[in-house]
This record gives sequence, structure tokens and C-alpha cells, in this order.
Amino acid sequence: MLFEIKSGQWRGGVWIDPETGVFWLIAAGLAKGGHKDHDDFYERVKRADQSGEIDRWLPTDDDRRQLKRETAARMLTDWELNLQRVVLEALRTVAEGGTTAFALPHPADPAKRFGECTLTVAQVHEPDFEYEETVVEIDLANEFCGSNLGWQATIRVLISISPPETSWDRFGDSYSTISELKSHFLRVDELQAITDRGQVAQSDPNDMAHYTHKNNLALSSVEGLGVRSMCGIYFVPYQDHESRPKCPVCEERYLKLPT
Amino acid sequence: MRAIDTSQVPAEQFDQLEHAAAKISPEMLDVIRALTESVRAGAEIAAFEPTAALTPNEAADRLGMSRTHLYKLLDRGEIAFDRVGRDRRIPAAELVKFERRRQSDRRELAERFASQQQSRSAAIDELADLF
Repeated sequence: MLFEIKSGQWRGGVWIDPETGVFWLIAAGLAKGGHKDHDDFYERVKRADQSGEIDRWLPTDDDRRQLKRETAARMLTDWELNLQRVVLEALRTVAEGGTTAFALPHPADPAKRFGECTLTVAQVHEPDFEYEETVVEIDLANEFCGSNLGWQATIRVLISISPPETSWDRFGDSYSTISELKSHFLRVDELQAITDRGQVAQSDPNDMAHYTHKNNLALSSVEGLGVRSMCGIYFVPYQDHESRPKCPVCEERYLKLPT
Repeated sequence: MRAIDTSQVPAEQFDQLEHAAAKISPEMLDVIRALTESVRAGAEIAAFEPTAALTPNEAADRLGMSRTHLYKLLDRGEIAFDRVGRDRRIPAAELVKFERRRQSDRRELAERFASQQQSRSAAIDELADLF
């Protein structure tokens, strides 16, 4: 059975999948010549119905897969916004120090376990300098360890807390960063504004030009592999280095090399 | 553990050292290169006895983290340590093992940050299989 939709001179044929309840627009055309024209939408549907061609208008497996991917893409965006909101609330409670643990929501089924996150912010006062040390521990359900969804959530949590990519250190499932005092306090307002606009926060890629071994450089830029800079950070060399300021630590070490 | 200060040695003397090592044997050149390449890469060189051990303070300093964070790693068994009375000592070899894993974990994180677009697309496929 085909349902009809109208918009101006346009007509569409909608088929409802009895199994999933999905509405598929499987035909479209113009209403012409008071339904007498050969190209008229209703005439064409009638002919297709008689010849059996209409069966081939039904969605194929590829169409169904495409629909699934589009639905999944929308769910992924909603999920990432949701993760960001959860991190924002957690960050608010420990912005000036403390530990909080929270569940990471499951992307498809709220009743299922995806993982947990523990966020610790400590203010460290040393004689010569003061800083905030942030440790993020992520414990994912087994089926998500090392998966792309697992990584998607991890990266989302880290960006929400602190966007500069190269400031994050990692050991296993424990991620840490060091920042100036009060930086989380400021980040909470920033993240709130981003969330209110319905956006997900972006990371700040490495913003300096670093020195690294040129032997590995070409392959790394093509394959997206990380290289170690002279100052000790890891980055993937995919950006134009000419337009960026040189990393002072790298520069100093480079100048000490034998010519 | 003893940090070796290389900043007082002019760079060309490391070149001379390599040339000299090359004349002795290819094996000696390998040994010397392990040193000179680290110096050229700006790495800090430290020598330690296989049995050397560090206090938690020294270890935290060396790894560039707070003592609190280090103690957490010790408590969780991420870094093995010995007990001397009530104090803890971290064998230098364990520190090297930790550092090696940390370097490879950091590299993977950098790659994940750089490939967010591809990861997203792959995550969409994984999610499509979940419902």
C-alpha cells in the first residue's frame, strides 16, 4: 500500500515498512495535465504497479544500512553532547579540588553499562610554582575497551576538561594534565556556553612547530602516526609548520646539536 | 641513579667519539651511538646500577608528576616497588619499564586526537551494530 504526500505540484509515494514502522519515500513526481499526461505521477505509479516494477522501488539492504548509519550518526552526536554535559557537571563539583566519580552513558541503551570515569583535581603548591593536576581514570566495560566508541568517549571527556591535545599525558587508562590554578574554574563557564549552544567542544591541536627526526616525518604525515618531538611531546605531523611559532624548548635543544 | 650532564661537552666531540668508535668495531659504534643519539635528541642521560632504587620523591620528580599521583600508581601496582621499613623504594629498572609504556601510550593518544574524523566514522559503524 502506498500513501500519498503533496507539496505544490509535487506528489510523493510513501511506503510504511510493516516490520519496523519506518516511513520510506519511494516515489516522487509531478502531477500533470489533470492526471491525463503520460508523465503524470499517478499515471506512472499505475503503470509501474501493473508491470510489477513497483516492487523494485522498495528499499534495498543498502538503503536500510544507510538509514541505520544516519540514525547512528545522529545518536552519536546526541551521545557526545550527553557525555559533555555529564563531564561539565562533574567538573563543576571538583573545579577547585577533589574527586568525583560518574557513569559514562551507554550510546544506545541507557539501561546498559558503558563505563565509569573518576575525575580528580588537586592543587599543588610548591615553593617555586603552583599548579593544578588533573587525573582522569576511565574504566570501560570489556566490550568497549579499545573500541572506536570507547576512544570516542575518552577523547570527548578529555576535550571537555582541557582542549589542548599535547597537554595530556597517558598511562594505560589514566590520563593526566597539568594546568595553571583556576583553569578549570574558567573552563566550566566556557564549557557551559558551548553546551548551551548545542555544540561539542573542539580540541586545540598542537599549536607550535616542533623539531623531530626527519627520517620518520614523511611516513608519519601520510599514515597519521605519532612522532616524538625534541621537547618530549607526541604529535601527528599533519599541519603546516611554517605558519606556527617554533617551540622554544625544541629550538634550544636543536641549536645544541652538532652541525 | 646518576644523571649525566652532557651540556659541557661540545657537540663536535660527540662526532669525534663516533668516528673513534667506528674504528674500534661496529659493535662499539652501536654502543656509542646509543649514547650520542640520545644526546642529539635532547634526551636526559642517566646511568644506574641494575639494583639502584629511588625514593618516591625522586621518582615523582623524574617522571614529572606530583607525589600524590605517583603514590596512586604505586598503590594500584602500576609501578612495582620495594619496602624499606615503612618507606618505599622504586627500582630504577621499574621506572624505565613504566616510562617505556607511558611513551607508547602517549603516542597512541596523539594519534587518536589527530584521527578524530576517521574514529568518528568507525564509531558510527560500531553504534549501528548496537541497535
